[in-house]
Amino acid sequence: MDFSFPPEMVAFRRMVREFAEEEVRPLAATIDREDRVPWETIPKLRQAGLLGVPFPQKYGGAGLGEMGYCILLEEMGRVCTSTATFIGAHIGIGAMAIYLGGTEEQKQRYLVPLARGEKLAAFALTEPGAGSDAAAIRTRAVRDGDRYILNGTKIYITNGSFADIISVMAVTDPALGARGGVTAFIVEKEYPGYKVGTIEDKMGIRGSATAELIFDEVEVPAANVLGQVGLGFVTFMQSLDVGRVTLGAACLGGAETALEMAIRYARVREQFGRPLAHLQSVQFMVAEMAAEIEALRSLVYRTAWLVDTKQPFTKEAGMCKLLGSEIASRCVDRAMQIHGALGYSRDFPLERMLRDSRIAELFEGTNEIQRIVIATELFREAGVRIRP
Amino acid sequence: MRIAVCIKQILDPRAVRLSRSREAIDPRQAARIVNPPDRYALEAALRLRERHGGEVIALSVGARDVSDALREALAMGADRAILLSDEMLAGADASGVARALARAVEHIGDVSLVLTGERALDTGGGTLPARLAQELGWPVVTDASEPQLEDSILRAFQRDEKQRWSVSVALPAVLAVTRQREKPRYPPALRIAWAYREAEVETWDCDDLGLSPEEISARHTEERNLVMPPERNLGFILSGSPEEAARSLVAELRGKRLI
Repeated sequence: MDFSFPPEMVAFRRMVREFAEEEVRPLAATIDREDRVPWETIPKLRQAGLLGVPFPQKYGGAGLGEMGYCILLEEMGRVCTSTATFIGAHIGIGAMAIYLGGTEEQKQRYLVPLARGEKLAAFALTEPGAGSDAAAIRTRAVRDGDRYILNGTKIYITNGSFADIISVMAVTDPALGARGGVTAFIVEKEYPGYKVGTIEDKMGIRGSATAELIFDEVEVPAANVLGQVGLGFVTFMQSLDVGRVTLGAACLGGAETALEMAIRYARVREQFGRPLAHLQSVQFMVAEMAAEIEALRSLVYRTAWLVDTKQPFTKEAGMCKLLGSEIASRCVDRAMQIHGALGYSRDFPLERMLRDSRIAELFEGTNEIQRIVIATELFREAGVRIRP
Repeated sequence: MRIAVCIKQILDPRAVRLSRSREAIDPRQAARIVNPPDRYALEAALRLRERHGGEVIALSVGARDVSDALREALAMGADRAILLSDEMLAGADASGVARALARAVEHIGDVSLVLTGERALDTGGGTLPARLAQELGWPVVTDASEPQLEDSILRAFQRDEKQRWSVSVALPAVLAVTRQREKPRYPPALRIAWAYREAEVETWDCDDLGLSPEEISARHTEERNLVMPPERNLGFILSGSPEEAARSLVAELRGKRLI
């Protein structure tokens, strides 16, 4: 067993860290305050080839697999959760759905420009009446010759306000429901009837755009069915699985930053005549943070290895997301406790990190859903089939 | 135009720790990186190639693990990478290294420009460009930035605190590049994958270059002792009203001849 990263991954991390420090960190507070997407970063991400990291080179990617993609999001998570979220929605679930479920023709047409960063992606599943209960979606797709007509509304769609290519789930057969009645489609933003609705005013990740998408008689060519008709859930659940691993990686990055800040501050801040580092209460917090981070790091990169070696990873992906989001939240919370009132100040990044970290417990499947995913897999291994 | 860029691998100065005796560096924590000024030299070379065509060859001296630095150069865009690796070179001083590099430049053939960083951040010597120029019998421009090629004349800028001026040199020449406006590019992810998985780093030894042990090991420099940089003095806080504080700040800066 060898736990060291191969040389290209070490070099890739070095490049991404420098990029994150030079190009992303300086904007993190600004985009949060100004409530806007870091537009100026996107061409730089494209130039550095960071918008298609996991995909094979023949599809315009860098061919660095899930491990490279985890490194990317860990490093972005260290400096800016909004930027990590933008990349995650573009690569991890938007483009990933096309990579996992698309035909060769769809990949050439849609995945290649996405992986090169010439086009940007979003992934549209959630609806007003269907969040955790994804099977309750009501967006309808009705076949009409060689096309489908889509009607419905999606909400909370990351990158929704500007995405060029959107992977969308819609009901093709209401009688069959989630098992055979839901289909995934590739929608281009130019299709008539496709509209961006309201932009969400959020507590955190304010530098990422979360939008409502409206489908009003949108004609989608039948050639844009992603995967098989009726099996949309399979395609989407596979992308979500992959996305959960890297969401864990982004959380790992956030937790690491919180720990580094806590240590740095505890070294210099003096109370009762000596640095905080000498107080046992602070030592305990720092030790627990470090132990959790180390465990998370092992879990995330082992799961990335499962993905890259084509082994089952659904259970572990749920664990990455569940533990990652909770560990990140706890670490940021502890770092704030160590900083005292200073940590609560808006002049300091911790309050932003606290607001940003909370979303990871909610999106890409709430942590309750992750527990169900993990338990379902555990019971499946024991011969029991859990039904929702 | 064929451009050779000399690349040195150093211990990351941001991560280097000093051992307790404070006389040696403790390399355990420090990552090995490309000497940052050399990345500026490589960037300048890549820009010249983009404008005028040609080939950029990264060149380094050292043990096998130095090939990592050359792979980074390949990832940034170098066309070829050559490592001069020979036990004989391990004990060489700056003049020996310059001689080996010059011999390699001649061996490559048809090189019209050699670029280096202004100095290596580990030893801080900064003598390589001049030594290299002497070995090659070429002119050298130090502290150069933004090199531009016009016919076979190379123009670059030099500067001091107050002004900058243009210098021209006929090729072939050696140019030591200082930090400049154009930051070194990020190696694209795709090229990183290629450079570290597939690309070839050519390895030459002294035999390949026809270098004899005497030529390399004759030491022209001698290391007397190593001293740590002086400790930084603590700052101080000026008191009084803003006007008074500003006045004493100006006086202080004048006194130190900083303004």
